[in-house]
Amino acid sequence: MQTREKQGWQRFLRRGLTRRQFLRAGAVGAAALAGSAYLACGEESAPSTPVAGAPGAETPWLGGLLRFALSDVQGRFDAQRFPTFTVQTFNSFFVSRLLKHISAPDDPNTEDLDLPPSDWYRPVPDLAKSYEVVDQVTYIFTLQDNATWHPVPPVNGRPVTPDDVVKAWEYYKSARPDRGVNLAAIDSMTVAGPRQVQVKLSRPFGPLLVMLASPSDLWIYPPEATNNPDLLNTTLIGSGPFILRSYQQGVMAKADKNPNWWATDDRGNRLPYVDGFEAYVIPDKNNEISQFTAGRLETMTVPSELIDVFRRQNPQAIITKTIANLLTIIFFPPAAYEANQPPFNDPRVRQAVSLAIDREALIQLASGGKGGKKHNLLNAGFIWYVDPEGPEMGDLGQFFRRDVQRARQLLAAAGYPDGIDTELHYTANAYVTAVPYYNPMAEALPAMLREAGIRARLVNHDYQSEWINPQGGIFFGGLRSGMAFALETPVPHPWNQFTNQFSDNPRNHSRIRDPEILRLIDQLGQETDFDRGRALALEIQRINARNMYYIPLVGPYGFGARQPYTRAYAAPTSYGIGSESTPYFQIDTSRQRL
Amino acid sequence: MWSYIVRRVGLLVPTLALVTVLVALLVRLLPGDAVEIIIGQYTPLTHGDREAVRRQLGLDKPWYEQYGEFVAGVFTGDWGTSLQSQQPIGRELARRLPVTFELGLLALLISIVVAVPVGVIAAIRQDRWLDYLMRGTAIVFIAVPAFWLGTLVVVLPNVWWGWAPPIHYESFFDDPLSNLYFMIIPAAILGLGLSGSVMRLTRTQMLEVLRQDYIRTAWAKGLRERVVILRHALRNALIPVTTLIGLQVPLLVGGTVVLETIFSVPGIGSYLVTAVNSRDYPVVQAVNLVVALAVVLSNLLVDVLYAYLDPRIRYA
Repeated sequence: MQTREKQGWQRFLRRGLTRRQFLRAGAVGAAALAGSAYLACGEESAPSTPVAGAPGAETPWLGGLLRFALSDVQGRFDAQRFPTFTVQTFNSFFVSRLLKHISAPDDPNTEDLDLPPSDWYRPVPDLAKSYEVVDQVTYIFTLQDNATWHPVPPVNGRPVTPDDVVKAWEYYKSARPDRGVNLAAIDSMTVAGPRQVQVKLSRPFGPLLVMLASPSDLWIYPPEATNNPDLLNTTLIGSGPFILRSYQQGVMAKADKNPNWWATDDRGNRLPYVDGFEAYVIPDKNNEISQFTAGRLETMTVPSELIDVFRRQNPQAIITKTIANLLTIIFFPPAAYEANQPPFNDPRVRQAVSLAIDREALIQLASGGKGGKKHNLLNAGFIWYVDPEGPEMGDLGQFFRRDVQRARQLLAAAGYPDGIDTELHYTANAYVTAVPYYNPMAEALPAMLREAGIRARLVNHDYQSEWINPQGGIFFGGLRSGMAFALETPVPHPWNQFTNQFSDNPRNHSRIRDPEILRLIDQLGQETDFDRGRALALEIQRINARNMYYIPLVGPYGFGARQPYTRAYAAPTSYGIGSESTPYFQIDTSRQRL
Repeated sequence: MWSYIVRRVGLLVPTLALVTVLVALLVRLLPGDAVEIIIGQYTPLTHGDREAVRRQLGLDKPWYEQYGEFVAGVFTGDWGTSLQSQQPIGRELARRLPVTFELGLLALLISIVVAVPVGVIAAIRQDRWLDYLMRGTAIVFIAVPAFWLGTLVVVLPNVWWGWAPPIHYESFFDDPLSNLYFMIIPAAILGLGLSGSVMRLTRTQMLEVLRQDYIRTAWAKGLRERVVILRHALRNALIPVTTLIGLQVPLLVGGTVVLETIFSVPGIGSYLVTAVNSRDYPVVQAVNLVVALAVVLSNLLVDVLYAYLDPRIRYA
């Protein structure tokens, strides 16, 4: 059966192998990759290790106890009722999704993520080993042959059935506070065979696979758990790579390897490689670094402001840097578009604002000198990111480079030879801890703008009452004049973000109505081909850059570290680490201190 | 004496009521939407969805109604349900209170064991180098904040020797040695912080007592120094010191909040910090009520003790 899906898996695998990984992996890796590609052609043989790149020439290290710090779920286990990133991350160790995101071997010789941006967030098999596109609105997912629930009561290791998936879908719809808006295009989910589930859409929906792979949405819980709130409120039972052994709120969680997880590596080793993990709640970052240095943690994230100290203390640590999936933007008042209110109704003024911003300096400021990237409208940590100064953006890249002279010329051409007096609105009391670079960036922007003749007075707003208040909050279309500096929360698919930003939606901060963008969003929502979808997303970003409806700014690097006696896989997201990268984590137990 | 105690207990009720009302009000003034934090900022909730969640959590009611329900619940032994975990708060308090109590008790013991002997030695070696050293040390203990000392203890031994404080809490009843190894460092930091003022007061009181006629008489009788100091002087000097130790309970509670966070101690301090960060109003109210209760009861105990020791107070 030659389906589009099978071609898709093959392409994911083929693309996932970077040149560097290929060279490192050598012949064994290449053979393994070829084997995977070959296997992917058969009906019953999805790739056993759905990760990018070869597993490496080395013999895997088996066993060992993985120790790390994890944000406490505070007694919440149900990722449908509490869809926060901490609960979702915790679920990823124990509960499966139909699909998951791809990850790649983390090369210890480089700090960069060893996965080309075009592969970020690619969906690969999780509980579903394959899928078939029957028509534009019908998908059939085939479950892993050997997928079983954890060997704990009340499921006791019984096989996962299509009926379980359907019931999990029904629970998702009933339990989600947002009533499952991200998957609203799914009309029905029904049993289609002994191992098959049919997904029927109400309309063609291109982002479906990415959404199903996203840890933000559908988790496959056993009906025994969803029918028993007491059970789902006190523990997690699933079919994922780990089995939750114990959980103490505010202290730690202990987990064992699921000996029956469906995945094996190309040598036939059952995954996960480690025997289990202990996840500690360590609220203090200094303490976490000390624990890592003392050899009590195998891996951790390091804030950029502490990375220098960390490196000095841990010269042997293997460090990876990534950009958070979080967009910093400037937006303008709705009246600029709806009522032609000057000065920001003129695209030249908006372009001047962008040209006045010194993004390199902002990166230095935000990262404490550790570097970062310029955002496009899709942020630098997001799927299908396009470098705003790269060749795909053509001459529009000029608007992302500081040019004060050109900014002044554009202002003069727009009728403001003496510049403009305006405001820059922001909220100082929301992100102090979670996004510590937000306030410093807001405070730095007016000085940059002033040099180009844009005299912006910084205006602070209370987050609760004035910023995110659904009735007239600045973030939800309530900006009356001036500009606003904001953070855009991440979503699973560009279609979500563009729909938020440009259609009839509270998160269309400026009430922008661009018919061309709306047409492209509609196409993007129906597009199932990754490359064509990416081209549509690129075009939307080009239109935005030309008009500077939203002015994307920058994101600093964040850092992850692991001990030198480990091998790991990495992905640009962390919410799904439990099934996407942790099962491939290896520990040289002869060098581990327990 | 009994009428004094009744009067003091009578004052306890409005104090607690005022504290709980203030906490209930202030925690709701904190910026940040409890629903957004609890449900997840990244979930695209519409206004209607948000209101539905608010109703479900009981947050749509006026604050005084929520407060009234909380107070009524406390009187019936129901401390409410955490907005975050949907779990009974009483159960979590029961699990965490002994941890904080142990930390506080250890800290108090350490502060007494350090402060009283040092205060006595400083007094009997008045204006000598040992006295200066001990007084200087006491000032350092008072001046250095626990969070800073805690951070130093976490960082410096790690930099110098690659050592880090233990990471994993074990109950005293499961593994006493591991428990003490885990608790001793935060308790020592907290205890040393408290010991500064106790040390200084002990010294001052000892100096005052040592100048009394009955001490001179004891010396004149030819009693040994140990007997004069410990039996005659220290006993009398310790009366105000005892009350000071009791009055330090609020400081102790404040210290545990910080140190429990730094050293990952699963007590009510870290529970409170997490609850404040996540705008878990019922938990914040419950923990503050417990803390307020502990503080007013300890103050009451001190007052009663003082009245017992000094009849001038109870007949005033």
